[in-house]
Amino acid sequence: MRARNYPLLIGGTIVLLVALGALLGGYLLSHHPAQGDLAARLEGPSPAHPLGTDHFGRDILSRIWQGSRIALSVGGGSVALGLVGGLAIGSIAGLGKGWVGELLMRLMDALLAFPGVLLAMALAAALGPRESTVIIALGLANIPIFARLARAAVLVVEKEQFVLAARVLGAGPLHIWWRHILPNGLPSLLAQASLSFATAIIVEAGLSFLGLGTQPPLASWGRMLSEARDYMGISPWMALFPGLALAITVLGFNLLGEGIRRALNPRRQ
Amino acid sequence: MRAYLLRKAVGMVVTVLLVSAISFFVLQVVPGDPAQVILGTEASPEALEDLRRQLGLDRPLGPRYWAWLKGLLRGDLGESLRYQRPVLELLGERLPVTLVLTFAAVVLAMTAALPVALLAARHAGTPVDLLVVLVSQLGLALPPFWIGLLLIILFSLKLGWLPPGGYALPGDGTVLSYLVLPALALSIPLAAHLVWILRQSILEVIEREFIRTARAKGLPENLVYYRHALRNALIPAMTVLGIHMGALLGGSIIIEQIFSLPGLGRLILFAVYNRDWPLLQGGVVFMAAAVVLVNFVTDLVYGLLDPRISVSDT
Repeated sequence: MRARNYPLLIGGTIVLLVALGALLGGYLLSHHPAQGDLAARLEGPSPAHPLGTDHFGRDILSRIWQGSRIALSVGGGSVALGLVGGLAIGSIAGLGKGWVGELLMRLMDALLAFPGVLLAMALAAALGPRESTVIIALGLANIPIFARLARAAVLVVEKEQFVLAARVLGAGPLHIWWRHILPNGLPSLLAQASLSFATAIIVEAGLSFLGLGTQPPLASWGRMLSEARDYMGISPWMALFPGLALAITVLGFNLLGEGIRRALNPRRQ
Repeated sequence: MRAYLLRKAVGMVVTVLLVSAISFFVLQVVPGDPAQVILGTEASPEALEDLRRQLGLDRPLGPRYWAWLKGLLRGDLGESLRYQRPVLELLGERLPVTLVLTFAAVVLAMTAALPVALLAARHAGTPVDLLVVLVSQLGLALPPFWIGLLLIILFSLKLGWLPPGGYALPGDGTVLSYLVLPALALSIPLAAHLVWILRQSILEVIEREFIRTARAKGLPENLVYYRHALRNALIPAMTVLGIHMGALLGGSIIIEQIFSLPGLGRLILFAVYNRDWPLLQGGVVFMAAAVVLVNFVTDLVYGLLDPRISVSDT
């Protein structure tokens, strides 16, 4: 009897709820995330403002909703970039052996040695701090991770009998890549995609916290936390709720990734 | 063994060189003009031109990188635009704080993770195990800077036990009190990751035949776990430590900022805010080299933990 895959269930549910909230939240919320009511500054949770207000009297729930859209777009954008780039480079390095593959993987190692935050900081200094810079930086940081997985998949699948059979029948490398290697490698890439998504959300928040990510008046969870820093003594909930939103979302993506991994190796529960 | 070490060392140097090249060319895209940064907006065009020539900014990228590289070999990373002092000197001054901080975080994480992972593995499938799994997943999801903020709110603002930030002068006996909260904040995600990996690998090891043999010959369960299972499970944990090094250093940048610690991270952040590109370039290469070095060392430690992994035949 197989145990239920709880990580997949719980993680999938959280991710689905966050995505739905980010999509539909605009229709349900009555406060604009950037519009403050100076008469209602630093208020605690109330029926009008379920999660309280910040130092400009802006509704924290609405701002968390806006933050969720930024978190998801940065996560989605950087993972897509890393996945496509890594898949391409890893496949080329795996299929084309010799010095091309060696050089590509060496480059990937160099990229991997960069702490993602550092790369993003350098790019923020070079390109200016904004959401797209963060997406590019985290996408670049993701490429070597996916490249390694893709290359490993190529090297394993290539030796399988069915690939040899296809080759004997005259299939070209592109056909083999598309029909055999990709379908076999994709699941492990997807598990990693979910984990990278979680990491991207944390790093984006960190960069915005430092003022190197999303710029005002947009509300990113990291920016909200950085603003909350000055009011920690009087209104701790300003630091509490955005962090909770962040933690729950990251937990969801982490569990989803773990769930996908388990679904792939049912033996290792 | 020697050939292996040599090959690894060469690989390490190549990696660091590639990192330096990538960061050099990325940072050259900086729209801000370093000469303008030094002289301010009031400077005359002639003075700017002079300084650019002096800094070598009028030369093409290739030769400039070559000159920087030659400096690197002499241990000269150039001069900070803002501090007007050698970059290497500045990095050296700030390094101890970051080193102590990350080291403390690793020690804290290991000390917490080992017993907890053992506990969970020995009670696999019970509520105790479930609790550990849940808490460690939660720990992985908490960003260190948020933990830092919550720790400040609790221990500094509400309880008043520890300072909310800053750093003591050398020789002052209070240095530790400034490091407790930042190290704790930095260690929690690492500890969670370690618990997760250790628990998993202990559970895998415990099903192996040599464990059955150890049990069959009547070895007490405690010894089975400590001497056999844990030792084998430590290898994947070392890998996690190596992988986590980059995240740890990246995390320390933010943590140092929150707790106002005068470490490498804050120095690099200063360089970013002030477009001090020689300092930024030096800092980036310095940190990347540290990550590469730690991974090299973890590779070597594998051999110590597991004599079967002979480094000569990989």
